[in-house]
Amino acid sequence: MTDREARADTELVRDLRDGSVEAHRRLFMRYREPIYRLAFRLTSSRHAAEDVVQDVFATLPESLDGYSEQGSFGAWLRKVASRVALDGLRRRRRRAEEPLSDHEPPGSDARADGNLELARIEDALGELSEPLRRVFVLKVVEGYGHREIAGMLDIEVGTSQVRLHRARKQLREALGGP
Amino acid sequence: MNDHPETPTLSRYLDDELSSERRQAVEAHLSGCHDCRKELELLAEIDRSAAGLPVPDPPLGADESWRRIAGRRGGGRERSSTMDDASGRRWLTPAAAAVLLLAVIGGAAALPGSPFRAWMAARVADVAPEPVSTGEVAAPELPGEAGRRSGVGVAPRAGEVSVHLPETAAGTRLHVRVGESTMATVWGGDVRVTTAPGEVRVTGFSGDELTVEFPSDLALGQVTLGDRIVVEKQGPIFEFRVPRVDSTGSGYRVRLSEENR
Repeated sequence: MTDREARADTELVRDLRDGSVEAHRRLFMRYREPIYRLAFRLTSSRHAAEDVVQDVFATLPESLDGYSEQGSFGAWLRKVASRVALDGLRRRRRRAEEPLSDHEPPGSDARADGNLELARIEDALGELSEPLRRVFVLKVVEGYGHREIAGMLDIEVGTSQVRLHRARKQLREALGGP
Repeated sequence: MNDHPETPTLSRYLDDELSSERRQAVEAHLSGCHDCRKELELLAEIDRSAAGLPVPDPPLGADESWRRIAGRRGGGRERSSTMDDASGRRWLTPAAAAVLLLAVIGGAAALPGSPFRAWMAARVADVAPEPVSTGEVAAPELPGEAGRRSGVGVAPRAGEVSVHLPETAAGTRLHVRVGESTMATVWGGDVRVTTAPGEVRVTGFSGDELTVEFPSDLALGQVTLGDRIVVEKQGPIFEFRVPRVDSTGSGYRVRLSEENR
C-alpha cells in the first residue's frame, strides 16, 4: 500500500467515525475483494465468505472502536475478518451434523479447469486442521508475515512458525511423491 | 551435515528462519544431495500452487452486497456519489432510517415526472411505494428573488444552520427554499427573532406564512418545531418530516400542526 492509499484510508476511517455513509461505502469497495478472498480461503465456501464480508462491513462503524490507528487499517480489517471467519467456522463446527449445502467442494474450480494437481493440493489443504490451515493460508496464500499472523490470530510468533512448518509437512506427506 | 534435514528444517530454510550456522549446514547438504534439493523444490512448489489456487467469484455483486449492508445498517439506501455528500450523510438509527425510507418513497411518489422520482424508482423498484405524506425531495431550480424581504439573516456555523420555531402556532404555513445568499434568512409577518452563530430563534410570529431560505450550498440546515426537526436540508436534499402542502417552484410549503411538535 502506498502512502497515498494509507492516507486515504486514514481519512475515510476518520469520516466513518463521524458517521459518513459514503466513507463506509468507499472502504467497502476498497477492501471487499481481499476480505472475500481471505474469507473464502479460510472457509472454503462462497456464501460463508460473503457472510464474512457482510458481517465485517455491517459492523465496521462499531468495530472501529477497537482500531487505534497505530497500524495499517487493511491489516486490522483482515484481522477482524479472520476472527469473523473463524467464529463462523466454530459455529459451524458446533452444528457439525448440519450439511453445508453451499460448501464448495475442495478443488472444484481447479477440477473444472482440469488441473488435477491444483485439485490435489486443495484437497490436501482441506485435510489440514484449522489452526494449521489458518496459518498456512495467511502466510503462504495471503502473504502475511509471522508477526502479522500472530497479531491476527492472537498467538505467539513462534507458534505461527511451528504451525506453518507442520502444515507444510502434512501437505508434503498428503501429496506423496518420492 | 550427514543426515537429511527434516521437512520442518527445510520449511524454515525456505522462510529464512534458520541461524546462519544452521543455514550454511543445510546449504552444504543440499549441494551434495539431489533428493533433498528435490524435496525443497517440492515444498516451494506446494507453496506456489496453493497461492495460485483460484477463488470463485462472490455470490453477490459489489452493489448488491453493499445494498444489503446498508440495509442492515438501517440506512437501506444507495445514492449516487453526487447526491451523497460525504461530509453531510450520516448513518441513522434504525427507527429514524425506517421513517426516512418511507419518507423517501413518499416523496418520490409525490413528484411525478421528476428526475428524483426516476432516480428513486431505479433504486427502490422492489419496494411498493406507500401513500405517505412526508417526503424527501431534491431542491428545485429556484428563480431569483425579485421582491423585497424583511427578516433576519444568520451566517452558518461549520456549514450548519438551525432555525428554531418554539412558539409557532398550529396552522402556520412554513415556506422552505434555497437561495444564493451565503446567509440563512427568515422572514414573514410580524416576527421577532434572536440569533446566534448558526442559529435563529423565532418567537412572537403572528403571520400565516413564515419563510426560511437556506443557502444553496449549506451542508446542513434544520427547522425545528419544539423539539422536533420538521424540515432538514442536507447538501442538495430536503427531508420533510411533516406533510408538505405544495411545491411552489421557489421551494416547498408545509403546514405546521400540534402533532408536529
